[in-house]
Amino acid sequence: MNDYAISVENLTKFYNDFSALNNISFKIKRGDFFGIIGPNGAGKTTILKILYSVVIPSAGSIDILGLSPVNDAKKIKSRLGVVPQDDNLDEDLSVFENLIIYSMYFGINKKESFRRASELLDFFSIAEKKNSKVINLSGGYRRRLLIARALINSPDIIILDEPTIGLDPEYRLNIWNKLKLLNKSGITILMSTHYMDEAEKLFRNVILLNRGEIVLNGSMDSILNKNNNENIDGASDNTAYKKEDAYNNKRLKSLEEIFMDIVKNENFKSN
Amino acid sequence: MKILKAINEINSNISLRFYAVFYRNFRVWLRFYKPSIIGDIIEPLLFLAALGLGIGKFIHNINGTPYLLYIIPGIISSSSMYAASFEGTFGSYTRMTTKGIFDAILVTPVSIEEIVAGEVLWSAAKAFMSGLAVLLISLIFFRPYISVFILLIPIVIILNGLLFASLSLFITSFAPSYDFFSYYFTVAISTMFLFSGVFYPVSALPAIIRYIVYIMPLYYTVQITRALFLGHLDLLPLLMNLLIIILFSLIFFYLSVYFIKKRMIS
Repeated sequence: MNDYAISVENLTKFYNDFSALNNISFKIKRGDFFGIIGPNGAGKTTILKILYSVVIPSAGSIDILGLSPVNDAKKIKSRLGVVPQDDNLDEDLSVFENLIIYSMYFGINKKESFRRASELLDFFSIAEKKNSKVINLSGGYRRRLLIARALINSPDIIILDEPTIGLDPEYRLNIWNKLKLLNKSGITILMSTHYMDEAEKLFRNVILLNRGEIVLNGSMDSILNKNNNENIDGASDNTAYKKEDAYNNKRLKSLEEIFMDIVKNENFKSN
Repeated sequence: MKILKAINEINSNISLRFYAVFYRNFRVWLRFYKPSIIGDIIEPLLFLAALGLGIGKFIHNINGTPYLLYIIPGIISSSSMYAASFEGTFGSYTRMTTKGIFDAILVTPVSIEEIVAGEVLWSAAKAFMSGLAVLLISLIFFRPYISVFILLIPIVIILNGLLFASLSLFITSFAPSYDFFSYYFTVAISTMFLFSGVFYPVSALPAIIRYIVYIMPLYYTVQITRALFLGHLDLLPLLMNLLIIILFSLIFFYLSVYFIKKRMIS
């Protein structure tokens, strides 16, 4: 068994003439909390959809848990949990039924699925809505149910496509905490977001995507440090700030600023 | 050869897991089953009463069969055709598009093939309920000449359901919007309803129309159902008709899988 949950090499995707992804390569270690960051239309969703086999890549190779999506899509899917960007909960069913019916798609037996569903409803604090219709749930509840549903098969990896989009701060924080707990329990997490503050708080390793290309990758710490060295050094030389002072006074570039600089540069070059 | 290979691949992607897709639809139906069943019962009753008793007053028999009894097997066939067609178009299309049910299933180990198989089976199940309702009602209310072969009619209803479910899924596979289905219902379904021998023998039609009728799958179901219902059995044509129905179903099933796959996976 290799150390990587997912490895992607030279992944390229064309839609007719439009190049959605251009030669993307990255690796995700088992147990990692890995992020894909980028503005809307950067190609985040395309990468995720390729990984869960609903978009076919134009070129490149993919390895997920030692399996290939081309030959072993079924096996891979049985070990993935997917939280799509578009909420596709089953509105004709109750909260509990959503989990039970979903577990049937994985071939989980009835007794086991009841146990897991109850456990997940507790974990996400939605047990009191167990018999409510999905259509009557608020956005925060729906999103939690969507994540709970993705965990019904006890996956090795969960893939989340902008799971906190449009949520108020309280629900966002709630979801962050749950994801951290899940990651701690050993589940590899791959998540996309265009919220930079969220990325800084959650991700251990990231790729930054712009117009279908990776513009920056590495660990969150190294990215923040490297791109702030100049800033910190500059601060100590010119204005007599010490490094700690620079941190304390928040003269540091945030991930958002780093990213905006890169994107501006790139877009400037290509124009 | 290429086609055989494609069919082989589709077959290899179908396991019993498609039952989950069927069960999901059944579970949702259970919430509203009463109005659904009442509809299944009332509509054919209206047809049988209005046409069988009304027109039957003037047309005493067709080829020696009382008019009401003549049209009962036709209504059994057409009711199940309509039930499968509504579910396989409007129902499946909604699950495929606006409700996102297919998308949600697609990230689980259930394959596209199994989704289509589950959907076809569900539409066929609705066809079965509808056709069986007509059969039971006609047996209860009109007490037709009882032939033991009537017991075989439920099997024909299921096959007819599978046929129209596959055909509908095929239409759904490339339908751009709901409006598209009104063409399908007008051009294909209504035409079959009026010309496939539900109300009168096809032999009454001019030759040119008759040849068109022979490509309508409903014609074959009506022929078999009527033969079983009246007990006028002729084994060879019966088997031929059955074979045609099964062939139609298989062709449209594989085509639906092919096109829905193309639509869902880019």
